[in-house]
Amino acid sequence: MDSLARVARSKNDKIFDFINYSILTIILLVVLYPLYLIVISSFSDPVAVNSGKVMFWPEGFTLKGYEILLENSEVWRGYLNSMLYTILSVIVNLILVIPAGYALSRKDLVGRNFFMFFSVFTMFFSGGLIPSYLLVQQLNMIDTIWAVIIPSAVSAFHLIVVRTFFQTTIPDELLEAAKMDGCSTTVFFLKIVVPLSAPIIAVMALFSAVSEWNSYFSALIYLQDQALYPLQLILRSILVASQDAATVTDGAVDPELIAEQQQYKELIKYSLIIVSSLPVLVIYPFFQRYFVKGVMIGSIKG
Amino acid sequence: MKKKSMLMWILGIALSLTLLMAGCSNSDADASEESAGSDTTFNETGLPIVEEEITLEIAGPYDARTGSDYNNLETIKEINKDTNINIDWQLSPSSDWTSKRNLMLASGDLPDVVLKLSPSDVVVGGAQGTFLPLEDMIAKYAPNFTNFLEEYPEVRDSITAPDGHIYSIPLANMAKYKRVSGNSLWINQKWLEQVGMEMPKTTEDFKKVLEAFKAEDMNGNGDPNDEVPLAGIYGDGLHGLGFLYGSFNTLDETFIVKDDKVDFVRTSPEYKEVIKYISSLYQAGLIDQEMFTLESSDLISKLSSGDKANVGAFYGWSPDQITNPDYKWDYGSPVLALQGPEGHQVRGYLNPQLNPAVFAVTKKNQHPEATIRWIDKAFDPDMSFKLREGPNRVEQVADGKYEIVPEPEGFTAGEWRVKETPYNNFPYGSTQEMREQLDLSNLKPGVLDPDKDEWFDLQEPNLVEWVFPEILFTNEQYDGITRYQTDIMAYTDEMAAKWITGAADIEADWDTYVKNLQEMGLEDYTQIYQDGYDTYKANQQ
Amino acid sequence: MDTVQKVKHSSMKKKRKIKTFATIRKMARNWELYLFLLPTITYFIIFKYVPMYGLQIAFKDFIAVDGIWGSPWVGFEHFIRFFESYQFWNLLSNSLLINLYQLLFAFPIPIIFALMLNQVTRSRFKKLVQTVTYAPHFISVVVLVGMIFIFLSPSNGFINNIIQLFGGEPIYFMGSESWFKTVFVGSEIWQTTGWSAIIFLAALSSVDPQLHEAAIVDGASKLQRIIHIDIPGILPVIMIMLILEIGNFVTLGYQKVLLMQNDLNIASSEVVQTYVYKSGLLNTQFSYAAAIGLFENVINFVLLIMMNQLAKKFKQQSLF
Repeated sequence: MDSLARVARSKNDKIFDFINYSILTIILLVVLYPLYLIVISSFSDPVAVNSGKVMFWPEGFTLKGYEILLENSEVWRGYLNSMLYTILSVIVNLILVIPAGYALSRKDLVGRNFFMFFSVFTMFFSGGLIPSYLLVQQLNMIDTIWAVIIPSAVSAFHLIVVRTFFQTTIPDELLEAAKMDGCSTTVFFLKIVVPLSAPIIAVMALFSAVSEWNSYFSALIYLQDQALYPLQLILRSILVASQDAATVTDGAVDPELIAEQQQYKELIKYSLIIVSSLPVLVIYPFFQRYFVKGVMIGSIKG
Repeated sequence: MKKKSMLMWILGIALSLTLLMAGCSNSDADASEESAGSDTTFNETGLPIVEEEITLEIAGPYDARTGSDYNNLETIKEINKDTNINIDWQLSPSSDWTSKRNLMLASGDLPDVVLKLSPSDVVVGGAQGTFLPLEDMIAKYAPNFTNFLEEYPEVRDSITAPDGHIYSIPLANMAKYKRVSGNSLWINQKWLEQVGMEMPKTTEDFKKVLEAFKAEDMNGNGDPNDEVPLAGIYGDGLHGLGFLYGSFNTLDETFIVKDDKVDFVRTSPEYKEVIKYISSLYQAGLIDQEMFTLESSDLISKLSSGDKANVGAFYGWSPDQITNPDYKWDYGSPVLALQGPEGHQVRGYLNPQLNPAVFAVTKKNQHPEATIRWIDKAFDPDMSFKLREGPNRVEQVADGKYEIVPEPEGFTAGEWRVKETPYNNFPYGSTQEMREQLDLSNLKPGVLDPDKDEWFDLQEPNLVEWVFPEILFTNEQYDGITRYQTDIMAYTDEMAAKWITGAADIEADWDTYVKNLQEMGLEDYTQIYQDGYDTYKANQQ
Repeated sequence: MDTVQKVKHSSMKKKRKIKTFATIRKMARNWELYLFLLPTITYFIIFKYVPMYGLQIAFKDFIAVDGIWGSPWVGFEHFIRFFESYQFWNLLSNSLLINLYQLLFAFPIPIIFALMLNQVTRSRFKKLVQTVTYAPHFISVVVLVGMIFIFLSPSNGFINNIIQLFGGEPIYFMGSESWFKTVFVGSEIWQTTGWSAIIFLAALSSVDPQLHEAAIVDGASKLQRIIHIDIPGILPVIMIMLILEIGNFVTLGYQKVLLMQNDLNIASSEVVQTYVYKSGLLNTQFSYAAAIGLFENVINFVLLIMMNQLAKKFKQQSLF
């Protein structure tokens, strides 16, 4: 009877696995195809792309878009800047979020709810652009890399995710046991909590890396020196430039020059997408390895 | 209880912090009140402009094609030469300039000079003392610009704020050819031949032509349905359907002025007829069904894709640059507006190509006189000519004429023209004479398009002076405009789209439509423009 | 009687004193935790709380030269103007509806996806699926909207090509009021499912494997284990994410909406934030924009508090 149940179960599981794998494969294709289309479009003649001829492989193969980008020194400089900003902001983010998140996860922390409320409140109410700008100005951070990194380093959202992670992964008994051994909070945190928090560190690093890589707004308002511009700002200046001409009430537009800009944009649109997304996509698998490892550590601990 | 104390806590902290900040920001405001001291080493004439080197901070946008290294542009180098004035350019990509400028002005973190403002920034900033009044300094230290204003008094009218001051220096191109709309109809003449029809002269003919284009397999690929009879982008200044408005005795403008009376176009009976006509084209499938969602880059690729043309007719400045070089000059234009059912065929006589708010001097500037003398060099006729046409693109030939040097390999025509200049992000004053000294025969030989002066001459008899003039409003008027504009324009756009696509019936909706607009403040909105116009007229005399 | 009360009173006082004393001792014992919190709290004070004095411009007529403090007060004028504006109800209902759809579809899908992925034992397939589904997250909004237009184009878009293949009439998705919200939420799901699943996957990794082993011995099928072990295991995380989601109820990525907008779909695509952007930042009406923004935040905040209280009541994970 026991074996019968097992057979029934394994049959059920087989059906489940079959359905599960099929659905995931469909999801995989649905996500992959549009991305694939961008890749082949970047190697295709823009004309063919826009008339919908590019479907499964490049039409009118060309590397023109990439050539134009490669020649652009601003793009390269922006690349390096963006990488630097991303690394720095990940570090700042982790320093501010992991210890604080741990502290907030401790039930014996007096005033825990107050601190939580204090953080969450900032997600909803902000003073707006002007006072933030004045603040950064008074801190002498205008036109420095810190203006891009610090004001957006931490959000309460990150703190909540970290806190929730610690609440569910670090059992109270572990802390009690450590206390018995005369372990101080700091030692406990460094020796036991941090090694167990690889998954959350990886997740936070990814979160902040991606948001920094894709952000342009801080750079736009706080930076003057173009040598400091991140990649996204330079991309925007190429992609969005002509749209602005239409929105600004400007009596001095030369129509014959606008059309040309549109063509330029059309030519490099797809290669720009590839070039700007590539670093994150290349770096990501490395992160993913740690991430997966972290997940394993997390499950072994039980 | 607990929650309450928590809130009190936060309020307490916030309050004490705000008080703290109050101290800081007040003292900060005082510091910026310091008035600009006059400098002792300033020379009223001749070079250098100042004896001791000074540096001016100038913030503005830059175009991707010109790059941001302004100090190494030939034109700027020439302006700076021997003046002892250095410029610290703080340039932002033009896509982001509006946000950056608004923030800069709102936070009071000002450079010495701000480029490319909106007219309302200048009036508001001028009234509040952010920008210096320039008219006296212009009279004293800007002989070139003064000459230009004397030649074209309408420029002076356009840059004078209602309080009588001039707060900004413009970019002005007074060439006549720029005063016809860039929105022209272009029709594929090969296709016309194929269907055995003439270039249409009336709206009725035009519709028949489009019907013929739709019915047949014009590009000969066996599929009669893959051609677009008429392409355009609804609401776009360049590729929109504004050209058709003239056939119904109105213009595609928000306000027009007839006999000194300002009218809102989108509630006029003429407008209603235009929409009905466009709607009849759209619903018969004669207009590209995507015209409400296209971007100009999409339109361009539609026009230029394929070995053979797929579009029968479109709106634009010229087929050059935007359609495929293999067949771009298959497209020809009726030039004049089509005759409407009542025989109307007007087009608007546009304001000159003029941006009144290109260069404003802030209260932070310690050397306003030197700044004015410096910028006056841009209005030296020779320099303005270079700033407009590109220093390498024009070459002097015999009898004072200039020839156009064609673009070298690796440059587009536009890149070549704006090379070594800050493009339109910097003041200049271009005149009709400068235009006339250009020999245009190198430019697209044998083809008539709006780049040629003949184009304007053909149009001239049909041009009507209904376009609302380029004027500066008062502070309060700008407030009112921004207040009504967003809602009213969004609503009228939305309704027009519904009527054209057939989602709503114009006859049935019209009265409610007008009533709704009135509720949204249309009368007040129109009155602001009427008042602005009246003041402008009064100041002219 | 009087003395009795006095005694009672003093004993209560004593108790409270003891309690206070205990609290202080507890705090002192955990002084290191406060040290952990100090940098972050300082950061929030400087970069988030200090600039909050700027909120007052919602009640003022902001004039640049007078600064935030010097501008004249106008009370609730900007709020009243917004409530009375022609667009108000339309804006509100669009914002709420789009968020409702997001909550109904875009919120549960990553959870289901994470649960499914967690069952995959072949690690290479799992890694492939993860890598691919995270990718859309890296695509910028401008690009995403560009792709939407290309795919949904009625003349040559991929989706319409398929529709026509099956004999259907092409649909003008982007030019239709009724399709806007579907397209918006659908593309949101495409872009964020993989990425949002990360949090749930991380949570799943901490579900005690012993529970699963015990369940297998008891003869539970995979599906049963998902329902009875995995879901309860990650419920705290789900609750937190739900609370946050609802706390953002009126807010939307306005850039994406703005890019997807056109005259044909505007009646169903104009939301609070795009309106703030247009009449506020673009026209430099900072005060009006601040007032609408504040209105929006207050609604969000009230919703958040309500959700939090509700979660507490049902003994679920709560924020504070």
